Amino acid sequence: MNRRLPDSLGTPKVLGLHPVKNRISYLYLDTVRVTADRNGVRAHTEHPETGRVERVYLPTASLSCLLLGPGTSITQAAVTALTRDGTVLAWVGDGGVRCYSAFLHESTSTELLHRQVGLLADNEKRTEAAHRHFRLRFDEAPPTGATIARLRSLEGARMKALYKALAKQHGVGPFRRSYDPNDFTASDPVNQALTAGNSALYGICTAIVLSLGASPGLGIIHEHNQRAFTYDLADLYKAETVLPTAFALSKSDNPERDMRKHLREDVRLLKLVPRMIRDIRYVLTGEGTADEEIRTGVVDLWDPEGNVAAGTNYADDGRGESW
Amino acid sequence: MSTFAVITTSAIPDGTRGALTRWMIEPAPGVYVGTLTARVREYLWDAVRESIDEQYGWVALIHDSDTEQGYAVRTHGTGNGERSIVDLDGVSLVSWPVLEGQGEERTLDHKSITHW
Repeated sequence: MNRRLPDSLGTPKVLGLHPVKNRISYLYLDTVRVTADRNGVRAHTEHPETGRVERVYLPTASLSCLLLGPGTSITQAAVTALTRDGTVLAWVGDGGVRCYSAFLHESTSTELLHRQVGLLADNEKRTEAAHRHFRLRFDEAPPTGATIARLRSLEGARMKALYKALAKQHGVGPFRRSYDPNDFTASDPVNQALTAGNSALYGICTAIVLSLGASPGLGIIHEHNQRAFTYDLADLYKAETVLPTAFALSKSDNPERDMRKHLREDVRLLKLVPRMIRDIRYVLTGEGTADEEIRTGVVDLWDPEGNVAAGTNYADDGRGESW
Repeated sequence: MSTFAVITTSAIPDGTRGALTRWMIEPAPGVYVGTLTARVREYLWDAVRESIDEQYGWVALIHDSDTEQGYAVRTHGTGNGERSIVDLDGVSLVSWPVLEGQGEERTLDHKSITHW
């Protein structure tokens, strides 16, 4: 039986896509091949008992971030389908080596990107943003007029105390954050869990940042890295999600899997995604509004006196005709 | 606390089908929709599972649940093209065997004719 597929299902219109806050936060796959099939995206896996090849269709348009671990391969057609659906693709590896595919919808607002660039161009504004970041992270206002160096030392002291308290609480000896990029399994369960949890958290953060039209590369605290702003954002949530869970998994025989399961629950229970959206806006703009005002599909021509509409001819004979 | 639930069935006895309609409506053959308490839901699930044809029958139960997906899925029976539910770090997806000639990537753009 032959039937035509409606146009709207091939390449989804923006109307047909969930906003990132309503999506499943992440999905992690390893040792699978991901292909496009019948307008869907599927992973080929081996059934653990029968050893037969099985297929699992991935809910790409309901997913904010797909993490591909060691032993995965993906076809061009599958990547096309994923990016069309606005899913962020992250390659994650044993040592936490990651790179992200960037998707940018034409309809994504650039307002936050402008604000971000504005902060980086002005040290005073950037310091103010760092103060806002500190306030969110530690739930207390930093000393008035504190320099960046002062914030750094306050942050260091707080993190040291947190690690110490967690190690004591879970009966882990003196803790050292370490992992060998060449040998993931050589490190202890706590470090393995931390690495896995951070990878997943960075994936979610990057997905949210991109979906809001901001840049993961333009950080406030971190700098000179394509994920600088992602690291800034992730730091806001590590102390209440990844860190306590990692220490609790010091006796786990599969710290990676357990960590990702726990993190998913945390993301849901703490309503982390809507919070991330609010926090990104607050850090970048100082406005504490939770409503998403997204101007879609609007193109302006820049003018220091105030932008003017694009798609209009501004030739000097001056009638401003629309085309 | 009642939650929304859907039961889809294939090759179940007429008696079971009739019984299910006392709790739920059947808007399409073998599809039952209703709002059930957790206890009744489990009760019906057990009853349907026990009565299906072991060779051809299958049943799937989908209901509201406090998970990230917002629902939970359970399946039973082998007549379902051998589909099974896999759990990926807390997300339920469906897995089924790749049959002969289906291992190749088939990409379709929206202009092409779809075959199924």
